Amino acid sequence: MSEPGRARWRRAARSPLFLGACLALAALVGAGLLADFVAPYSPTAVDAPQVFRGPSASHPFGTDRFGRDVLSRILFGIRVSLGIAGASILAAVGVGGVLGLLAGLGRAVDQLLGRVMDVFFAFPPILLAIGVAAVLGAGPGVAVVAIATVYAPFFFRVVRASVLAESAQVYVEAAEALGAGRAAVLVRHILPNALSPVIVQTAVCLSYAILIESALSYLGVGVQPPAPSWGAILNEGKEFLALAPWVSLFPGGAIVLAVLAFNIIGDGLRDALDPRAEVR
Amino acid sequence: MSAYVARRLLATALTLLGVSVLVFGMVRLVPGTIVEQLLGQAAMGSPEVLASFRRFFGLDRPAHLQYIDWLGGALRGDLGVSWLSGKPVLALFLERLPVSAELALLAVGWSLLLGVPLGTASAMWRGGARDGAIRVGATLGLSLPAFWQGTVLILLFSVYLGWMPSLQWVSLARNPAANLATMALPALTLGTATASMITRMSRSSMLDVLGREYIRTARAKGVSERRVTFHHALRNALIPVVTVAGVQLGYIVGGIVVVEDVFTLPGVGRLLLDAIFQRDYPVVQGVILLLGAIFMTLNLCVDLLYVALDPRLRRE
Repeated sequence: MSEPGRARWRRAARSPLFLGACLALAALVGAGLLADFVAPYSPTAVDAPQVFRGPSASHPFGTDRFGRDVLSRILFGIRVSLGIAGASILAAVGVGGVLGLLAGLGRAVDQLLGRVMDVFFAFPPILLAIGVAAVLGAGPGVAVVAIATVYAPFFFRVVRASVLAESAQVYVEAAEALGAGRAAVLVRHILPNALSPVIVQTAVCLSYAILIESALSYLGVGVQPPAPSWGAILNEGKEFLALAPWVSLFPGGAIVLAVLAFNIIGDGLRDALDPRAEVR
Repeated sequence: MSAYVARRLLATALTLLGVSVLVFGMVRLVPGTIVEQLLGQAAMGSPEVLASFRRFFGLDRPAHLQYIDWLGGALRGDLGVSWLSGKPVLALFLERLPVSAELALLAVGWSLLLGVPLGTASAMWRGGARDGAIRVGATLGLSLPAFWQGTVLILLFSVYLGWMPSLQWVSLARNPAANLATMALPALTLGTATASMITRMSRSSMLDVLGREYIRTARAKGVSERRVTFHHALRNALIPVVTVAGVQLGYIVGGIVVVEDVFTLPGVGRLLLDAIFQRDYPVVQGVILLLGAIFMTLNLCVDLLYVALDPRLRRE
């Protein structure tokens, strides 16, 4: 159970599933960054004679109702979907993390912040995101705010738990006895120890963030057409499901691939970084 | 135990109060005031029209008085009326609730019925090929977006195989067979992530229990492996699974919105989405408040059940 960290890392790195997930993710990110060069067509180029063509050599994933190339839209969609997921989780880590640290300042602050976070936990995640999007209107920026609102409380809890656990340690007492202020102790000594659980939580939350962004866009309250988010492509495809199933099938496959990769990476990181999670 | 229950009830009440502030304030965050949103360009030129509408909706009074009125109404079951249909929000919600409740119950039901045995079996087959297959399957199940899974199922069954009669919803009371036929795919879709989570949790909880001393004692006494598994281990392993089921309720209550959209079911999720697109804010507000309250109540029940099930917690 308490095998050294390096051995756990080596075990994770040797797992073919973990490696495969890292490779798939790297390929996705690479394809997204290089979409201008990799994609065969423009994601928004309308080609009237080519409407609803099934998969073929010139359009491997077929075309949609405007004759746009579905593969190109998915490739450019990587930027939108992973970009929104990344930005929103980054914001959630920042806000939740800072608030979690603040909870370590004293019992009153901790109680107050905890109560406020409870309110956000009182909503099912997707419902909270839909609510935020309903109020602020659709769009990529709103999707980031909506998803960050959902997951900031998760990071608050993770960081707060670490802060409370570490505060009880002798080295913290020693630092304080040496005259270090509470804030200095929090940032210099406690924060580094909270990093491992935050990293694990980040990978897991990224997978949820992709799911929520695509669900919002699918429902029509997230990214709006013609912007190529994976969920938005599915939204445009749903009316023509029987006629052109490829418009719906391929972007969904991309979502599953990305979410699966983050899930597997999250599991691997948990095994490697969290000594409390028994390696089975 | 009773002190715990009291504390938990108080915390839930406090949180609900916070939820009501959030939901109330939410609609006031709409860019441009609601009235301007509703009236559009027409009202912009006429401050008198704008003022009279604001007065009509009570928006000219201080926010805290509006909130107290609204909360008082909500506590009496008055969540206002829909701006579009003029019907009470609560009545609209209750009208749609049976569809969503049936969907949620079916989803939770099948995911428990499948997840617990699969997780247990996976633990018994630990390290083997069958264990690996179940674990990969569970991870895959967690990664499927409900709206895409639903889309694929519709394609497969309705379009290619022609199995499903139609997507036209019929009430359970009028035609139980037809109702269940239309609910099967939505319930399957809604429960997939939950079934995967329960499988994972049952497996790790079972492995945890199987490693305990008292299991070794039972085996040493010569108790059969079957009895050790089902009588000694499973009963204790199921307790943590209850907590996971609680967390999963959040995904079920939220997932209803997505799944009802995919399968065009007339439940509360559909009500919420339609209200969002039509800017019917009292309905948006009311449905989000009620779904939040239902979710919290279910969570409270799960927490209390957990304490009741675990003798170690009960004694405290």
